[in-house]
Amino acid sequence: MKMARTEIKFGGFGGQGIILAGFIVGKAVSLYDKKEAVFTQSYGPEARGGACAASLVIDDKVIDYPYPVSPDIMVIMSQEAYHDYVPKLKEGGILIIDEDLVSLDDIAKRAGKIYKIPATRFAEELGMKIAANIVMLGFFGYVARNLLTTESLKKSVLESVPARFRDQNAKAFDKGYKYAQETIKGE
Amino acid sequence: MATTYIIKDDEKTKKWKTPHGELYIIKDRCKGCSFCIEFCPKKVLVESKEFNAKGYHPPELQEDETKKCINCGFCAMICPEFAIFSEADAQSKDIAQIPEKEYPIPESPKIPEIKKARDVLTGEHFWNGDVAAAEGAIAAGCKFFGGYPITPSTEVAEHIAERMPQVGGVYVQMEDEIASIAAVLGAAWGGAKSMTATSGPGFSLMQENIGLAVITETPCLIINVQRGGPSTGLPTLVAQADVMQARWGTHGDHEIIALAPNSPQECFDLTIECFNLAYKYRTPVLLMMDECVGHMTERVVVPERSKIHLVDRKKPKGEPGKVKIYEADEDLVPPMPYAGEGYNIHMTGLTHDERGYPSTIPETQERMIKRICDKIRIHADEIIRYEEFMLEDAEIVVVAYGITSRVVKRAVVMAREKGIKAGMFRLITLWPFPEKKVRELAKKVKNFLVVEINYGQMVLEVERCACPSKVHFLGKMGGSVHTPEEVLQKITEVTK
Ligand code: SF4
Ligand code: SF4
Repeated sequence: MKMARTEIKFGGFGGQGIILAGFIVGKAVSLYDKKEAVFTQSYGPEARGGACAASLVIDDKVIDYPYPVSPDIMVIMSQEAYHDYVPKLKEGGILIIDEDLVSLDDIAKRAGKIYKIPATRFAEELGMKIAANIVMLGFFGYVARNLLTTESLKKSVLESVPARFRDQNAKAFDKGYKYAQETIKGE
Repeated sequence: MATTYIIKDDEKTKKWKTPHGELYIIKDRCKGCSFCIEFCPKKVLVESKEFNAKGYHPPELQEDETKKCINCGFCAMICPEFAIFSEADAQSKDIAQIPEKEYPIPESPKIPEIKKARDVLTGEHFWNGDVAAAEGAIAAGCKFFGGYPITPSTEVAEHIAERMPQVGGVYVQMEDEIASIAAVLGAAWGGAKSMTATSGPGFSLMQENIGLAVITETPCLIINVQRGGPSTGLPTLVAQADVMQARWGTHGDHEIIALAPNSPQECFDLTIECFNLAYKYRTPVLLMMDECVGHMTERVVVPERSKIHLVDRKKPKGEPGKVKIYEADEDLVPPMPYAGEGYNIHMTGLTHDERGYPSTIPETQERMIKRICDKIRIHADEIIRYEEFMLEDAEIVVVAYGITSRVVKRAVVMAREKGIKAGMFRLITLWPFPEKKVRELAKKVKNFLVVEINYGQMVLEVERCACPSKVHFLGKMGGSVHTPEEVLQKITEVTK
């Protein structure tokens, strides 16, 4: 897989595991796919409730400037994050949302493609609401399959959660991934 | 006893009559910590079954035990929420005395068994700069951390607190930064490679004892993950505004070694380097990180242990009793005895002679200052490290360090794309300042641009050395990094 500098932003509210989601993808790209990745997160009041964000820059080449300029992909899991960050999405970029938590308006028109998943609902159905981020990552993994390998991503998920929750998280990941396979057609 | 409280015995406040007064519990204030239950010397309190407004079970006085309450007030003293208190009847004040033997002897907490772990975690990791620095210290053989966690350096302490016990080292959370640095110096003399990590406010508090480290020639590492100041400033937002304080923060003539990493990998590598420099030159060394570098996560490659070069102290060659602890070799660095090895060690912050004895003779002061400064000055070339990027044909040199250097690199590439011959000179060693190199560059290049997250600090140093070139400045007060576009615009402007 060849790739140019790609910027990904994860946004939601504190407690959804947004930061961990970004970290997991970064680790997958950096350690398992052996590409360059820089992961940064928002600190300060933002991180204490309210909108919270994690950013990832990935590239084939060594990355100098570590912050996103106009993200190519945004994964958004709260309405507040939607309003805060989506105006900076690259024109024609990819927008991924939790459809139960985010409703779209005109801002979303800048997105070239929009993918929706009820990630939190799925996680609740699986009996582990806190794994909504992992369901989302499964879904993201399919959407971004040209950027990083699914094996790496799944490995990174399993290595980043406590051993006793591995099975559950594997299920959550697969749920999101399968849902993407089933619903995203013609690509 | 007259009371100033207005207490109703209702569903929110419970009141018990005790032999010598009353006991009150304001139920909704309770946060269920059980301290009162634990510390009551009579063990008359228990957790109740009911929930309070916060969802906790407030304590209650066991009905059949009310007679045992002695109104000692321990429960009130220990309660963090002011939720429980007792009031003694005026006539029975004396009762509130507990016979000595009834003080509870708290059981000492069980220390969980600590699994030993490797000190050098050879392999690839996805670490942030703070964690990478902590691991670098452990890989360098650091065995003592005394600190007072402060953001954005907290993760250094947090990570080391977990790791130190695994490698047979010690983490001590001190009461403040003054004590932290003092403990670090003590540990070094006791024979442990030692360090602390802090940010602006803590760095200010440490200055006096950094001076003590300089004059007692104590090797140690101080990490400063810089945030915006002065004073409390910008907790957890970036700045590079302590770089002059690093140079001159402690009083009196001295030299200091300070390095500035720009990636988690360098946080790891340079932490090891800092320890090596500290032990080679018997001096405190500063690792001047910034919030951005501390909090960014990237791949960090940890080499095999055998590939990590470590410098240890120079041991005294002479017999105990015959060695003077400040008698230097030709390199101006005295060998270092450790406490307990039999050598006579006299340590003082006063000006001292080679034996370490205080002296007010001007010649002694002159000799001491010269040597502790010159031991760094004469080795400046060996100590100094920098990175040159596209400098060969550069017509403008952009000087940067830390996180800013990564912005500048981007801007330099963008400038080249526009046909502007820009290059970057990155300071890895901030102090001693790479004066010689800047003078050399100034012979070839007419324009320098210093980009840093402050209102003008290292730019003064560049101005001092870059004569006759023009030195321009692009600052930022702190809180965020420059954008590559901002730097590019400035480059374009000054090269017009
Ligand atoms: S006043 Fe003393 S004896 Fe009475 S409940 Fe409080 S701690 Fe226990
Ligand atoms: S000490 Fe105070 S807050 Fe803690 S359980 Fe007792 S009453 Fe509640």
